[in-house]
Amino acid sequence: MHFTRRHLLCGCAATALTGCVGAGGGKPIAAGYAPALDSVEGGLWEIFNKAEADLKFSPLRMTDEELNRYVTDIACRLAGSHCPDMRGYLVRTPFFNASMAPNGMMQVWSGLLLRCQNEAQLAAVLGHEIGHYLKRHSLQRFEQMRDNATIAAFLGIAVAAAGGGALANLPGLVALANIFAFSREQEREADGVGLELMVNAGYSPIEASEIWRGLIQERDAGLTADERADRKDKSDVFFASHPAPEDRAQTLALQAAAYPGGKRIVGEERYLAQARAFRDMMMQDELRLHQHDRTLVIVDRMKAANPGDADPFYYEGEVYRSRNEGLDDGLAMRAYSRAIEADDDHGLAWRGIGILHRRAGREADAATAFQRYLELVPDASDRLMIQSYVGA
Amino acid sequence: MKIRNGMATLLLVFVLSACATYSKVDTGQRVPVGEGITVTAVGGWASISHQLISNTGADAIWTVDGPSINHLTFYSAIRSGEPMLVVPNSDVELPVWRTGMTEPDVMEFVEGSLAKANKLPFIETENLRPHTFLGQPGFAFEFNLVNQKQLEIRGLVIGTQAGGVLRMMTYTAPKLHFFAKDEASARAIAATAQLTGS
Ligand SMILES: [Zn+2]
Repeated sequence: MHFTRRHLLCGCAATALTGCVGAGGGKPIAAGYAPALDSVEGGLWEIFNKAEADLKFSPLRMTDEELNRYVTDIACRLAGSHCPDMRGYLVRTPFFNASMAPNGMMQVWSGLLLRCQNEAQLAAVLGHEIGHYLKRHSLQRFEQMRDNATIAAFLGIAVAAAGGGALANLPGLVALANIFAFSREQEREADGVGLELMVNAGYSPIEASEIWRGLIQERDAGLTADERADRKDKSDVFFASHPAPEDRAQTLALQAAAYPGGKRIVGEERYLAQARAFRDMMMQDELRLHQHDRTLVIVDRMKAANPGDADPFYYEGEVYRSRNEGLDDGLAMRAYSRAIEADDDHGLAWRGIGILHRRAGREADAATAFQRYLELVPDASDRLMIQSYVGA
Repeated sequence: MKIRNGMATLLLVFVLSACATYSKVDTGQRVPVGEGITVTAVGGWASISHQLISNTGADAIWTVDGPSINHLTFYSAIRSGEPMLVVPNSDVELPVWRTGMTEPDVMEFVEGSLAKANKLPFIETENLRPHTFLGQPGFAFEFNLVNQKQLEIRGLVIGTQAGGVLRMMTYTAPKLHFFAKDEASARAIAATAQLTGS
């Protein structure tokens, strides 16, 4: 435990609790800014500095240098002179989420990376989070907490998250990500800032609303009309803490239309080139959630973004093979076959085909497919088992 | 935030039941571990009382240093359409095993069950291979996972599917220090497993 309550009370929060509220929330932040340690803002930063120290060593961090550099470069193009004040962390957690702490610690979860169709969509999310930082929304939220119970509750969460192993658990990570439930006004403001940063960096602003359209499709996937009206899905980390996505998609689309047209970056290929190496891993994490209808929405959006890409067909096959109900084996076979049509050397698609044949007792067909798989993926982690099927 | 509420999961149940009642399993003694399976204990294992594991889906759970540290878990009879684990008081839909699954399917079934029941941020499996269990052709593989406390855990799974039943044993312990400590003893116990009446 490195962050003590005593320290907290001697610092900023004591003044906040006695109503001596420092100003600054909502006002723009200067590049290179760091708050005075004995200010309310300094106290808030201190809490998140501790949390960040723990996040650095989380086993969930995705530390690949190239991927981190790619995301950081985009963030820097958006943030301009504020770039050195922010630090992005890629976290392997299969849910759609990104967050910004007041001290400039930004989290981007792998579930978000999986769902972006192109670089402009990732830029939209980063721009939005940078917007929260630039406008000091966290501080503003804190200053708006008027009653002691709310402040105590907030500090309770913050202290629990910052001390004693800090991001010691996933609930802690979620609590930290959602510690400030930003107001609708703040979300709208961050959306506006994000859009402006996107456009300034040369990105196509309509992609910001496209992300929300995807989330709406996912949320409603597999639901009946009644269930949709009911919006009973509160299980999603992101929807639990953010305003209605329909409003945002619509507002963002209207605002995007107001910017002059012209050649702007969407960056499907660029994004795919970076994400491809991690997509299998992120997709397997997603498949393990067994939310097949939603996963199919993600797959369809991948197909739309890169029509020639074999992987989305392979993933579609994986969804059906994993669901394994009714006609799913047939649907899986059709999807794997389309992956092979697009890329005859798609080893994992051959694996899927082999498994389906073997399930159905077609040993010879299974052996042919498995042999292809082993040729194409010589270091496969199930090699010994598959070899035993082939009789090699 | 459902993630925070849904913590009544297998690994956490173990933590909560730290005051469980154990009975020492004597080395060399052949004991039943569920429907139709017996094993001979090797090493200093203790069995956790049936009452405490009745809502996990397992038929027997043994530990050396405490259930929150290491455990050997036996699933003696998973039948077609059944899940591997049970999450009490929850509407979480867990994957089910089906006859006709290939071993890669079973590996993914175990992976998905552990991930979903325990809300794991991540789990990865490796080295799926043929392995004789209960005198029948079967499989073995390892997994690595990070639990909700961000502790790195390693596991070994040995099993066989025959006669419309999936039978498995899993050995699970923190990757650091503990997994290696009792791995040999876990493997030795698996090698003694027999179907009663065979
Ligand atoms: Zn926001």
